[in-house]
Amino acid sequence: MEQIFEKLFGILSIIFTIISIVLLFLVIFFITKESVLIFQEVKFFDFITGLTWNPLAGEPTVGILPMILATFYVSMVAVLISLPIGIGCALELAALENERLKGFFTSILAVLAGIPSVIYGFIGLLVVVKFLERTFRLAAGESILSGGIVLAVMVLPYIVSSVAETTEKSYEKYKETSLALGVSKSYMLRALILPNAKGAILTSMILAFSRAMGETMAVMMVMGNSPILPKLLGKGETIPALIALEIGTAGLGSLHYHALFSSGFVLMMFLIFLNALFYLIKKNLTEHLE
Amino acid sequence: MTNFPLRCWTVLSTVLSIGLLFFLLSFVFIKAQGVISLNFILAKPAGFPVGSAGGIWPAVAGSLLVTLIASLFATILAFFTAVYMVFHCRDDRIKLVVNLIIQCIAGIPSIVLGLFGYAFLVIKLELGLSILASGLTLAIMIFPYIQIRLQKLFLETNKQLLEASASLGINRSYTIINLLLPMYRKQILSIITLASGFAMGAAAPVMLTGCMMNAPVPESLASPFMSLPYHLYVLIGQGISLENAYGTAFVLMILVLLLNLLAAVPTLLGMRGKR
Repeated sequence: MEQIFEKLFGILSIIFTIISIVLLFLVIFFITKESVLIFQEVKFFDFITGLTWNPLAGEPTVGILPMILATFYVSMVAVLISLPIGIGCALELAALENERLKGFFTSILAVLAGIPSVIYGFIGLLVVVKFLERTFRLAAGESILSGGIVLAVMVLPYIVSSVAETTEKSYEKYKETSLALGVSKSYMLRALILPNAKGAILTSMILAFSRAMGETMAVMMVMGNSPILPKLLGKGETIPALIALEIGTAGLGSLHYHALFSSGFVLMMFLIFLNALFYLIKKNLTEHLE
Repeated sequence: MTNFPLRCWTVLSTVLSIGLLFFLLSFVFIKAQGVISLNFILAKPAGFPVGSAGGIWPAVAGSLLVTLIASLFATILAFFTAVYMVFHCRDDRIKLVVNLIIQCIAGIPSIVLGLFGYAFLVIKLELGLSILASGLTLAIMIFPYIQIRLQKLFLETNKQLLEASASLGINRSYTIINLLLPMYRKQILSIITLASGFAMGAAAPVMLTGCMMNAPVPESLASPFMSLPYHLYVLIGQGISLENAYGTAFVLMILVLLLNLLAAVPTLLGMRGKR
């Protein structure tokens, strides 16, 4: 009986592993399959450099350059705003000796990361967008900047935890040496821990950037969603927002439908590339540290 | 840069991020005060357009159910995959390929997974716009999160423990079920609850695969459903009711915070026990 169970357990684990891998493989396969169809009608180069998105016109044009640029722009703004705050937090976290305070701060960051993106979008719309309207006297506060600010809060926990991983390690490593040399904590953070964390800061930027690019709901709610070339205080539409807003009305198998899949494909490929880069750099860094 | 500005910078950043969380929480909690009542939570949405009056019960039930389906599927798949990768697989190339694929999927944005759910589960497999299709899509979304962490947990297990168990002639399955699972119960539960929190808050994948603006509490796996994040999006996006949007955001936030808390409690207790 036990032997049978042991066999069964082994077989089950193989079967479920195969199911998982096949399922994950299917994701990439299906998105690719549904998107390549469009390239019989539109050249890939025209697709990613085209300036007009009008798939429902008599002579449909599908160009997603404005969306690609908006996605990059808003993610860049988010990382630029979030990075200095994130590094500051990570340094403070490394130097905190009080375990209880440290635990408290870590769980605060975990809760920030756990808040659903719709809620970020909701509060962003009521607070950030309104604030921009008042400050810059805009007709509509929905803009790349508001998207960037909301995203900055959302990626902050990822930046902090990614940088703190390294700063905490190097703080532990050099704590006693620094103490023995009579160096102050601030000096140690400035001259030793911060320069040492360069690699970690780079990987945290990549991670935050990829998170920001893939975000849908929060961005969609505060950016105004018009497929035009993005300006900091103007509206813009990211690729995820484009897909979420239009897939419901796109006829199955139409050019519009496949164009949306293709834009998803472009985004997916770029994010897989970023993720692989993140994985490799991080692997390199941890080996270097040890 | 001298020491003083650096201290200012680190302390200010920390205060700012803690302040942000408290601002977010209090903003929703204060504004929702007038709306939240037992009736709001337990009533169906009503009024014209739908959602401008009444409550959100179908959305609460739908969100809980779809999260349950997603966590169940994702946990089973992730557990066995992690077991296979750590205890059965002896081929380094297979390990590399599987790890790589899982890493790739972890990087795919949720909206693209929604597209996959729509094209494959809803249309190709003919599941229709249903809670099952949404649950499976969410399961694919949280699978890498659970699998990567479980695998790390199993890899960190004391090798001597496993060797002692094996040299006593105890089956591997028995060791995993009766030794590893009880030992890591807290960590495993906290990984799963955190992942469920992500699934519950996700709107993008479900809005493509079965979530509706107005639907009853799902009766079967094949019925469409309502979910809290999507309901909130519709209420605010179409300007239906700001009041009810606050209420919905409040309930969603509480549910996610509860899951976070559930995940944190065992680990906190466990940490104290160790010291």
